[in-house]
Amino acid sequence: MSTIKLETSDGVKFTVKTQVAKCSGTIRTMLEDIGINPQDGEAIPLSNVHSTILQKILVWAEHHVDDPEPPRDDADAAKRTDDICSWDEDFLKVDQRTLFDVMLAANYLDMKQLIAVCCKTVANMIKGKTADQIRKTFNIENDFPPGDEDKIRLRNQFCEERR
Amino acid sequence: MSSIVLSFPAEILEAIFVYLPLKDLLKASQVCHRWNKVLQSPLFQRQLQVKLHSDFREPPSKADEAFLSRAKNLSIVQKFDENEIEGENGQAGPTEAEENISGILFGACNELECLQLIGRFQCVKSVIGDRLDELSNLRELSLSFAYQGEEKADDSQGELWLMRSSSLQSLKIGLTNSIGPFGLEALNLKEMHLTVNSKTLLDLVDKFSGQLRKLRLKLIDSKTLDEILKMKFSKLNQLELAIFDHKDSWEFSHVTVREEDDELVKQFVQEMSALEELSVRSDEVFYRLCPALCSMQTNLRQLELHNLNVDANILVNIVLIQNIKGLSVQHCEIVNEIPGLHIRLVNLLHLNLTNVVNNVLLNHNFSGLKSLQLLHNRFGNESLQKVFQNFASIEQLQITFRAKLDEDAFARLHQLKNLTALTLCRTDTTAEHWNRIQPVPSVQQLTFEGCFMMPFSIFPELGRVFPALRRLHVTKCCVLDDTSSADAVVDGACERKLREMFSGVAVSWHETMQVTPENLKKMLL
Repeated sequence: MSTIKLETSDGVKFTVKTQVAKCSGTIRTMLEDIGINPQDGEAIPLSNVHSTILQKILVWAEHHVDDPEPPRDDADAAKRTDDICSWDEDFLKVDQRTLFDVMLAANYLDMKQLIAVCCKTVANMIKGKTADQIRKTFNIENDFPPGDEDKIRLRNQFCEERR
Repeated sequence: MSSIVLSFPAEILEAIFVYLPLKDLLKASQVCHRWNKVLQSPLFQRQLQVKLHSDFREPPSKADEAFLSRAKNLSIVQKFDENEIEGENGQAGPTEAEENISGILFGACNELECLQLIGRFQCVKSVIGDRLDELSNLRELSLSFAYQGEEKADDSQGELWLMRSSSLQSLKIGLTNSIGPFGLEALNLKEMHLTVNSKTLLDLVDKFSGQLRKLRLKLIDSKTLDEILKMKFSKLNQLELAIFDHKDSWEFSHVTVREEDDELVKQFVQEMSALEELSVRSDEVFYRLCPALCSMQTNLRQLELHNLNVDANILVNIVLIQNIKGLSVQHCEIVNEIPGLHIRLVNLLHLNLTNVVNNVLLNHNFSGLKSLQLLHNRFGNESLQKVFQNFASIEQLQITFRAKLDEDAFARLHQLKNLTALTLCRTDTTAEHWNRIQPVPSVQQLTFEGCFMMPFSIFPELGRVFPALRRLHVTKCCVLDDTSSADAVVDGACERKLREMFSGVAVSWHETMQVTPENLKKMLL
């Protein structure tokens, strides 16, 4: 089975099955379109990904390597957040920092399924909370001037969902 | 430590917010500036429509104005007193309410992209006047004119109302009551959606015929169709045509009567060289337009037929000659089918048959088909057998059968060797249905939607039939807990048991309730 080498931002080299590496759209493009030849033994530089995060992502890719292309989603299905499979759920039971790093790396590597699972996980952390609780959860500072917040609240009262 | 969430690129925040329902989005917009800013982006703002529903006798307050200044999608419905109609019909200048609405539109709303305005023609005319171009971001305008009390629309009376907008891309006119003379200048208009019941509106279509990409028309009579057929829609990509016609007066046998306009129709179709999607919504349009598609090549990729009597020969010929990838036949009757015909239709990828009165289309061989949607109230069993026989290539199957299915209705499901996704809508099955099926290892996604009687005992069978399942969705169903376990009454027990049973599968359970047989009896009595 063919393998390729990946080099992370901290200089660690990983040898990965080509098929697994191709879960990443970014790597796939590098191999197919730009024509980087993995046979050369030269490592593909992933300058935005740290080794600890890449390791984690490779575990995910290994598990999902045989996943089919998801069927055409109807708009309704796209909004679901309760269909994270239990393996992924366990996989993402990590501290927030790691979760967000995985998410940013998945974005950089263009791994749509992993991004979706991460986004659903974060969306679930937001759902049902008040603005204050959300701030606490993600350690966000309230940067609205005191009066502004009321205005925004007022504005929101007028809104109705389209569609 | 400041939050890493703040350093997320907008695209990631958007990707997260997409999964939130409106109430959570509203909360999220209050969290901080950055989140608020992302949620102000057109993607989300266009989902948020501000609705103003009032008689507009009071001018907007300062708070209202501040709020409206950032609205991107506004809907204004003017309520008015029926009794006042007569008094205000005189040309006495704009009323107070009209001035107030103008004030809102042109004073407060600077960022408006979509505007919906519902009111009487005279009122809307005096509100907008010649100022439409002041809304420099406006892309969608949707107008509805309320009934004003007269018998017939007379659009030759009164002064011409000319609107101008260089940003406008889409114009929709819903109700077309009591329209006076008006015109539009819009260089970038690409989409139009109208009921054509007057000369003014017909002229409007004609004026923009050369630049439109998308057109949806409802025509009032055959004469209007004649006029439309003379126009040239050289850039049109999507066309939907309907006529208010009487079902009885138009049958396929009348086709010959219309042969004299054959050349006209051919030219009409030929001019539309960019047309890819066609939706036909009445017999007359079908029998005048579609025969031409049997004899000439076009770029048509999607065909939708709605609420008509479809001549089987015309339809099959179109599918054979055009390179159509998607066909949707809804609420139609197939007529003139030659029995015993079995034609190979290889190009079609997606087929949707919804409430087609007879299922003769299923006799043909769709050997390249990838997805099939089938909705039927009666022919469930028969249809399924035809599907298993003639649709071996399909990857996605969605069925909606309200009628009771035979116990062996699904027995040949395994013949669909490529099936990856199966959806059952409002289709009730029992364990007996599923225990007659051989395993179908290709299926990865299974969805139940709106199934009213769903015995829990089918789930163990599903595990056997679909060993490679990855996603299981249960949405808007009523699950009958027939396992008679002690915890059956505890709400949520079915969901929990299901998740345990399918531990390696992504299970979703949406708006689904569970009942016990005892509960059900009570409910039904």
